[in-house]
Amino acid sequence: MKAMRRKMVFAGALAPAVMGIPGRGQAQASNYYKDKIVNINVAGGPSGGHTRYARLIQPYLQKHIGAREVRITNMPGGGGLKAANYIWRAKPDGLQIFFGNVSTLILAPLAGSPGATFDSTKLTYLGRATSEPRVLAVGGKSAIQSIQDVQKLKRPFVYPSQGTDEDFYTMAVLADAFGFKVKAVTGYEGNADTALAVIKGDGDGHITGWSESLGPIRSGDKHPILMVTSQKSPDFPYIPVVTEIAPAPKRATARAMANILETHRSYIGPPGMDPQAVAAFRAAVTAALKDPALLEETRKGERPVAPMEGARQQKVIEEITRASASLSPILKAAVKEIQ
Amino acid sequence: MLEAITSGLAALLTPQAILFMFVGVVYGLVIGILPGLGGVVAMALLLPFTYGFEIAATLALLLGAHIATIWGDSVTSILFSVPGSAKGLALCFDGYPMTKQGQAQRALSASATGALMGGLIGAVFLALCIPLIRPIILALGPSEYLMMALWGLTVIATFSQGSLMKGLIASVLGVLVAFIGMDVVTATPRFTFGSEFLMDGISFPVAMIGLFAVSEMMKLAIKGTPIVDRTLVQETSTVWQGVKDAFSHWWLVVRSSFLGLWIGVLPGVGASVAGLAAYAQAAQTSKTPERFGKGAVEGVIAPDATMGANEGGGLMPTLAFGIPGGESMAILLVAFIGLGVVPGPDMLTKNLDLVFSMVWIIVIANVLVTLIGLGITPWLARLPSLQANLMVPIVLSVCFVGAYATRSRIEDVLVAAVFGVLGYVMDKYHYSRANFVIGMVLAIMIERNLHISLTLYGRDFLLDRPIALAMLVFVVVTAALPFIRNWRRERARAAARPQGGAA
Amino acid sequence: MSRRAQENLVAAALLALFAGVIWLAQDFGPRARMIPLPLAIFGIVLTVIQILWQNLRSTDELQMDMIAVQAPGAAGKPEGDAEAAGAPAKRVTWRQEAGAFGIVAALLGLIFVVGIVPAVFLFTGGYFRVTRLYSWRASLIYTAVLTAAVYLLFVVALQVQPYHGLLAPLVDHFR
Repeated sequence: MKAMRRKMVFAGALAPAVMGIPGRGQAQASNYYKDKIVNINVAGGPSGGHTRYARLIQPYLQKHIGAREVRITNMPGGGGLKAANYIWRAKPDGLQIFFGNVSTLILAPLAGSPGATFDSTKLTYLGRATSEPRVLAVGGKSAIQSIQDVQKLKRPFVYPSQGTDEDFYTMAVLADAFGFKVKAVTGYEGNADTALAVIKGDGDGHITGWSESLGPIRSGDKHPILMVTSQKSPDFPYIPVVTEIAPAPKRATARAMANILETHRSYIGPPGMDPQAVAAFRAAVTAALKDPALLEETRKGERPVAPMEGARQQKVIEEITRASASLSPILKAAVKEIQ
Repeated sequence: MLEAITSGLAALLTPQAILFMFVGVVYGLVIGILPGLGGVVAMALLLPFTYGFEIAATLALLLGAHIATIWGDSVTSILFSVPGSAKGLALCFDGYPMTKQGQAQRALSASATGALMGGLIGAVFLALCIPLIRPIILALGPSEYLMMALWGLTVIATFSQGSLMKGLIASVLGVLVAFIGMDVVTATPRFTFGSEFLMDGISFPVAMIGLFAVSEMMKLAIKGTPIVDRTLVQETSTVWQGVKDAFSHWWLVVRSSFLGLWIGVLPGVGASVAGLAAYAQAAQTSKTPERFGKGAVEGVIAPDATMGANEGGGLMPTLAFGIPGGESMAILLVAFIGLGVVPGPDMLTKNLDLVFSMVWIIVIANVLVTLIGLGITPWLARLPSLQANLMVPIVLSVCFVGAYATRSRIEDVLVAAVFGVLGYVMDKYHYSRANFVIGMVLAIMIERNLHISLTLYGRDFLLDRPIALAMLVFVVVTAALPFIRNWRRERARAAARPQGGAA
Repeated sequence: MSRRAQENLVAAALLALFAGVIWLAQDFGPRARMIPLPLAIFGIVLTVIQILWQNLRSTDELQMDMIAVQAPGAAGKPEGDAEAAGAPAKRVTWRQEAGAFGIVAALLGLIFVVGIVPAVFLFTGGYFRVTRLYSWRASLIYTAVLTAAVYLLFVVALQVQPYHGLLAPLVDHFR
């Protein structure tokens, strides 16, 4: 009954995906997951973006990992904190995996957020699925045209925000790095609300994912002044990048922040996860995200992937840990400010 | 423009589009009728199926499903006092009493016709207002939203007929319950007692399922007789009566529709407020406000008209700025991008026929929903006369499953049960449940927008915002209106008495 | 317990609740308590007035209104009591009330123990049998249809992952 149900759901939701899978042919990296059931705990509801990606990748992950089944369980709550707390306490046998936005996970403990009972630097990073550059944009009619203009402002930079999300923390780090003051206006209902505030001139600027701002930027309602990434975008070389133009003494903090944002949507395991399982899972994620059938599907659905290998992610996390001593007080001060 | 109107319609006349529209509408009706799930879920679940089809057909599927959930929600509110989602709440206030009085058919058809008329007015004005959208949206902000929410609060007076004290206490209670959870304005967990679950707050649909549906079923189990006992109360109304009602209250429908458009234009205000504001407006402008809450047909027509028109309004920010006006529009935006269309002001020049396709979809889907609705109303109206022993276990089970389904969290089932008991106690001692949920819906909106207004414009923000100030005056006047009218009537009665005695 | 004693009990519970809110709100920052704190104080004031009022009136007035907002003559019964048209309401005994609470508690308990879909089956089936609404066979058929409908709609069509209950780990253990 149970197995049948899963099949039905599966066929319904991902009919095109199922048809695209060739038979299991490639050799598996290891036999660790053979005959096991892997649980992917998605940090979000069934209709959210994380679930859509998790389901998109699931059949390919199953194929490359060789497990009996890759199950997707939704674990919404606390902006991902519920799922993260769960993984923190899970058995490190590699059968419980977290999937969702990792930047918030790294930032929550650093900012001393209530509800984060884990140490994000001790989790096991297993590979990234997507990443989207985050961009600071000002209103199209604003007198501010560049980050230098922001530095020259005689008043605080008014920043409309939903609450203490990753963009809120990013703004605090930017303010510290470039030496300007920020007045955060929290309580907006969503990105639509903050975008309107910026277009109207109630606020000076806000940070969003690139795709969300694309429409208003193209129409001239918003003007991008800074990318919070580690590299320049080849498509938009005219927008400066924080890691290149941040003042030298603060560049390490800025880079750490960019790195945190770039962890985006990833697979994570519990601390001290079985090394065999780590190797097998990382290899499977890498292989799944390179699978031509998956790439074809993402292209058709306009849902791009941006893989990063787990081993490299782990190194980046170590860098972040080193920078956290300087990052943490900035974030905590920003939260204090709005209370 | 004319060419865009016709080509927008033509795109919907392909077999694929017609089929998709029909599937979407039926699916939306089912989702709407299930408790706990609303239009957002309906659209999100359809998204994976939309790749690779005609653009117009895809939009017909998504928008059609979304529009159909509106009336679907109203059905269960009217028949069982089970609000399917936040949108259907206002329909419990007068729709359910109508059912108990044997006027279920009239209530159902009046709500369907109201939604249709609202939807049509909304669509027409969406088409007419396209050039005006941007300046209107830019003129509004947090202070205006605040006034909108305050206006919603004035409806509390209507439900405090029993006792003003108890009515106010119930609202205070609702507001405080809404504050449970992480306060996003200050990043403070409030009244969470360290619980991870409470951090996300009490889900509004779950609380409503408890307060209204579970407690009604408890009452039914105690009474042991059907909601409508046919040996005592005959179904006296007809479908036609409800249709006529909607047309004879045309001015109310027009006012409610404009309210819906206005709310749709304000992104983030949302449909739950739309229903309440419509109800407030209907009750306060009525000459006989004392009938409200006891089965006034106006209390059924107004919210549906507003929510129907809200769809057209909700498209405005999406079209004008590429910014979704609500959660459901955010999903539509995902679909747009998947279809290779970048939403935004460009659409009004490059894809105008697509815009008109959407206007047509709203029109056609509304007509379809109403036709289906009027067709099935006589059958639906029989449901409340089913035996209590059949009704209680079925409705209770479905409500608990629905409570769980809203967020896939098992704790929500417990919340529904607790609120069921709370609803029972409140009802027994005449603490208005309606006031409780009104407080709960509006609390966060008021708090957030007050904080934003204070931070942005300072303490005297009203002086900087003339529109908000005008709205405040309007709120005060409409809130005072029932009291003034009451006082006048008393005076007239007092003046008439001695004369009558003399004659 | 008299109606007045019951009313006082409810009011006392409200007082305790509002006091609790005030106490908890002391830990919040000035902005976070800006609305909850004054509101809870307002709640206490309202409740105290209500308590005074309901104890200073004669018993038969208790069902009456303190301040009739609109047209006192026409106000009639408060919201939710529209069934006045029917027979004179029977007095609800505490046994009946306990039964209603028990029904909700039973369903809740079943869901937590056996999981959501089996609970629907057991609860509706059990209810039909206990109330003798249908014969064994009819109960079974109707219950099965309802469970299947719930399952198809929520689990299959809407992709809700059902909660499997506290017994699920045991089942997994022996699988």
